[in-house]
Amino acid sequence: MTEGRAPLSKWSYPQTDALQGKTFPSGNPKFCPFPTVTSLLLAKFCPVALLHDLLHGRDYALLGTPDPEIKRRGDLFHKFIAHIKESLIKGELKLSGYDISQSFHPFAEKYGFKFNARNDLYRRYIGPWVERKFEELKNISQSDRDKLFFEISVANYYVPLPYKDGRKSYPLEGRIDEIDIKNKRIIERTIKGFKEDTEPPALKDYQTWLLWKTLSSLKRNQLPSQWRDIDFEEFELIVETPYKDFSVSYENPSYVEEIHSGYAWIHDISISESRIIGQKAYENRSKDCPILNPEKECGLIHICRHRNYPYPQSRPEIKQIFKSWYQYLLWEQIWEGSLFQYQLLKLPKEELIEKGLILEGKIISFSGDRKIELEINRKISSLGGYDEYTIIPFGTLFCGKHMRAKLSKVKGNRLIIELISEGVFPSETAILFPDILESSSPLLQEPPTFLERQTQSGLLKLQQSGAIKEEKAKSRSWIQLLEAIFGIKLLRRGSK
Amino acid sequence: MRKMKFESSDLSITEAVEKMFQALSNDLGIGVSEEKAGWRSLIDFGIEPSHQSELLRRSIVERNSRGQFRLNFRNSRIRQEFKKFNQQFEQLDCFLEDIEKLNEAQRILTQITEMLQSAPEYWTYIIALGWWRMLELSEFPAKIDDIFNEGFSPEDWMIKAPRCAFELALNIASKYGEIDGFKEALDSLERQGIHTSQSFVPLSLIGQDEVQKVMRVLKWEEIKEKLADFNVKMLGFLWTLYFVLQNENLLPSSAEFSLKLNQMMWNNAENIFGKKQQDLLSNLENTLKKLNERGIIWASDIVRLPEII
Repeated sequence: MTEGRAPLSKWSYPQTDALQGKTFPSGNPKFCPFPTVTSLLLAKFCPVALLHDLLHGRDYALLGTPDPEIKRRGDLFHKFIAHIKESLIKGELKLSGYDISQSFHPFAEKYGFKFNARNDLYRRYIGPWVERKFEELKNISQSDRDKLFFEISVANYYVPLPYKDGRKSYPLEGRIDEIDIKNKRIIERTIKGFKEDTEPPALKDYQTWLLWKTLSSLKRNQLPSQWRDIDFEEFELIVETPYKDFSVSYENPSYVEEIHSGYAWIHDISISESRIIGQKAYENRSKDCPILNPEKECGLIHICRHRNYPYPQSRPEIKQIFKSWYQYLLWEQIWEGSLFQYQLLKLPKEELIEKGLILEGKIISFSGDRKIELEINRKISSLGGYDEYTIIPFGTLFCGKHMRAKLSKVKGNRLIIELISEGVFPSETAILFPDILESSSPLLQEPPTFLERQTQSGLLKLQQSGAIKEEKAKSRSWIQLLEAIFGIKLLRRGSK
Repeated sequence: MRKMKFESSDLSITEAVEKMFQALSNDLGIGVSEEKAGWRSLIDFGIEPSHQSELLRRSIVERNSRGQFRLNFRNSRIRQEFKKFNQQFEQLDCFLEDIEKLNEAQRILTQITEMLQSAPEYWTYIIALGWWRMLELSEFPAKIDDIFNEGFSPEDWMIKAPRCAFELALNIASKYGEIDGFKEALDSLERQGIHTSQSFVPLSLIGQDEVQKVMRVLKWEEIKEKLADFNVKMLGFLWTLYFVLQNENLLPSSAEFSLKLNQMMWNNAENIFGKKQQDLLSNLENTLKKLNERGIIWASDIVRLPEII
């Protein structure tokens, strides 16, 4: 793990003018990106991993391997457990090991897992988990219909965190895997870990603690209406692997130390005027990652320890020029995406609606084909841009179930949106718990900052690609093009 | 025929090779030289002494005069045989190559530093070359209104502004001594045995009236006026080092060695200017902050340090 960085005197929030949308977005925004729990985990893991996330759009250091399959496996593990629990609540699943294993195959197949992969997944993760949790699953019934929640997003503008004798406040957002109201538990689930572990997998305890801190920092009126009398401070924090459960302590001095340092890294890499922040990040690279024996559990190993091919020869120039492009692309993301997030959490709801940042609609109906009909209290002609939305059918902008949806139809002041199954559970919380819906559901369009991240990632790929031999370099037009654009050597046309 | 005990697919030999890599990595990582790194007794690698001759015969290991062994990592046949370790071999090659590069870079840095200390008139050439590289790679950010006001279209600007890089560099260098042109600066280094011999060319120059316009757009005189002498020299020095090392293909591949090179460059800069890196940088940052406050927000994108890491 990384070494610390001196805490900031205070977090750089956007000024009122920027929040009101009165500042022309250009140059260094002077306010920080809206931090996610993942950014803080990355900062603790290795500041270079955080740098790759912020500047190069590569956020998979924590996966432990560059193989994207591991993420799909983790997602499936989590989704399937939610599916089992939701099916038990709905009375659709009989509780026998056989039934669970039978329902796993069609479920995993829907997500593109082949037969062998499904067997492997069941044997390694699902099977051990079911065996361990069988008794607990028996206790789930229809009476739990408003007690179990999966993938709940939490965010707060000011999360107070202990610092020396006082506290410092920072913004933070993240997603909780499971909130179990009946048993008063917050669960972070992972496929990492082994049977013989005595500690939770690296950083998972810290992650759970950060999510809990965010949730418990919310005021009553920021919570879903049904939760306003719940004291989340009392909730037990659990990291759940397929093989074991680990209880996480509320008090851990290292968390407090790490978090301030993590925020400082996020600030410094994103918007500080320091000329040498990259140098500092590399100097502080995890001590577990020496050059000849790098950190095996890092998904960015091939990016971080890439081979510098001799061609294109203009690579040093490319590096100098791309350096500022990465930064500008990050600033664009801050102006677009982070500012939007700050606005959502800081401006009054009426103002958000008035500025067109969110729509608010009353859910009129659900239909079996995942369609939601919403009645909107304003002119729908104002809808524009692309047709992907985020709807919060349960909860508030601070804490709730975020679901991706596509605009399907507009009928007068009514919208029909279709939930997009990928990334959400097949049995949606909203459909499962229709009686606990908020009276109105926010509908918003998140800025497409993923495009800038893709550009950052593509630029890094271009910067790091190349050829070892000159003949290869000459036969690859893209290398020749790079030499022509960025090189300083005299280029000759033709064979002479 | 009796089957050989050690096949490349044999788990025990693979494990032994892994241990040999580990020993090499550990030693090299703590600064042991290549000649002395990785030597251990066979038993430390989990290999029975009875297998010694077989391993030597197949050139998997080499033996030193003290009867110790290590992986024969320079042998290309071994690399073919143990493809599983491709990544480790590659890392090892990069590491050893970077050591060589760094040693040579150190020699050049010392040479340039001593040259400047004994013959300060060379500062003119160093500033001219360094500032030329810095400016040409800056892509000349500027305010669009100012670009239009001087009669450039955005396209003109993209084409013409970078062509002024050397004129601007000469403009700032001429404050420190006489200099006629680009070739003079390069020749001065060549005379000192510092090679800049590759066939690069600066972009072709443009007329003086256009140069004046570019200067006005950039508010060049204000930028120049605000920068302290030692900052002008520091930037010229660091960028020239970068330029020379790049030409000599001495920029390391790995971040670790790039960090070391960066440190070496700053050690030399501290030595020349008699100031700490932090003080040199904070002075530059304060200057850029002041320029930013005066509306010259592009200054920090032009006046910047080379990206070594």
